[in-house]
Amino acid sequence: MRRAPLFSLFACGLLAWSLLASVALADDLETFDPGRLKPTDSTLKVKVGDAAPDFTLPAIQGGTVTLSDYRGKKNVVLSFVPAAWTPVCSDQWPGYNLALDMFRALDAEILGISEDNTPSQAMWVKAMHGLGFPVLSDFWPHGKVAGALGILRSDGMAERAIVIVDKQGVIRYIDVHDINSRPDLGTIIHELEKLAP
Amino acid sequence: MKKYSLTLAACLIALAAVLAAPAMALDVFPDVALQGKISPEQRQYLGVPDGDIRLSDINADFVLVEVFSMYCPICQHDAPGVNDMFARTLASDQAGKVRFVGIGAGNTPFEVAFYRKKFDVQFPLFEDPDYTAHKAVGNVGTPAYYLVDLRDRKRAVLVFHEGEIKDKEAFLKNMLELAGK
Repeated sequence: MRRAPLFSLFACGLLAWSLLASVALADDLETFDPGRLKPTDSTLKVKVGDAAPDFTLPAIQGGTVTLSDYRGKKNVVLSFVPAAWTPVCSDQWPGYNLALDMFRALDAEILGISEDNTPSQAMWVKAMHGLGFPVLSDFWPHGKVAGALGILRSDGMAERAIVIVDKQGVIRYIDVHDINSRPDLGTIIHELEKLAP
Repeated sequence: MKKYSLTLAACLIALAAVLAAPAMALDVFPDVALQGKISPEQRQYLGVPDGDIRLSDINADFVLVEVFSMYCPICQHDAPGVNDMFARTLASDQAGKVRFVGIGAGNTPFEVAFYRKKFDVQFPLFEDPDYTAHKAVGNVGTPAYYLVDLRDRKRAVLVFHEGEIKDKEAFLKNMLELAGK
């Protein structure tokens, strides 16, 4: 009689193992799906041709990054994403990372920014197998940089936005993208090519 | 005893359902449109004419379909290994029977071209910017791999694998054995 509970325990253990194994098929980057969100939820405060508001933000790589430090040296692509550990965001920066050589050939640096705090960003980036560009936290004062640009949503997340700042510190391109989809790498590269001397 | 037997049966049924789920993802691979420019050599490889093509136009017994994304880190990590499987398939006894294609889920022509160049992918890669093909195959996670039997116009899915192929040696061996039957 005692074999029966042991047998059931074994069967259920096998079931638990199989469930865990099926999760592992999706590899080691599990994400939280927020569902479909309002495509945009903010009002821009800057336009192409404006001087980019300067900022200094903490980076997961340590220390801080200041936008104006790139002045006279590099074009800067600011890539704002809404939230760490979400599907579209997790499927955006690894692509830009793959294309880093292309960005750098166009004399550009990419800065990834979200409203998450640094520890959360750091673990998320680790799960994405690392990124070769600075990832900055606009967590505190919450959304100060996104707010200055007019891309802070009412729920405290940034829009999924691309802002290109040239070597003179002037905004040359703004794409406040549908938060539910990913901006095309080709469009960003094309806009950077326009800045080439 | 009856209670335990019922528990055991319920667990085994659930287990069977879980284990069967990936294989049941698709029984018949949809006849998706393969969009994008491919070279004349790649058209010859697939045995397809000029112009728009669909999966069923591929003139081979089997096709390995990789659903990938340029943005997906696992796809990037897997790319050299998939290239190796392609090369070894070409060098195998089943070279004439198996074709490889990739479908870039949500990827534009620029993104597919970039991925092709970055990883020197020699087999044909197609774009799917609006996720049409990706939806048709059930919004699978990337990468996903399907070995499709094209004989008798069935498009029967013989193998489905979602996520990184951790043991490519075993995957390739299984694929070539299935193609040899």
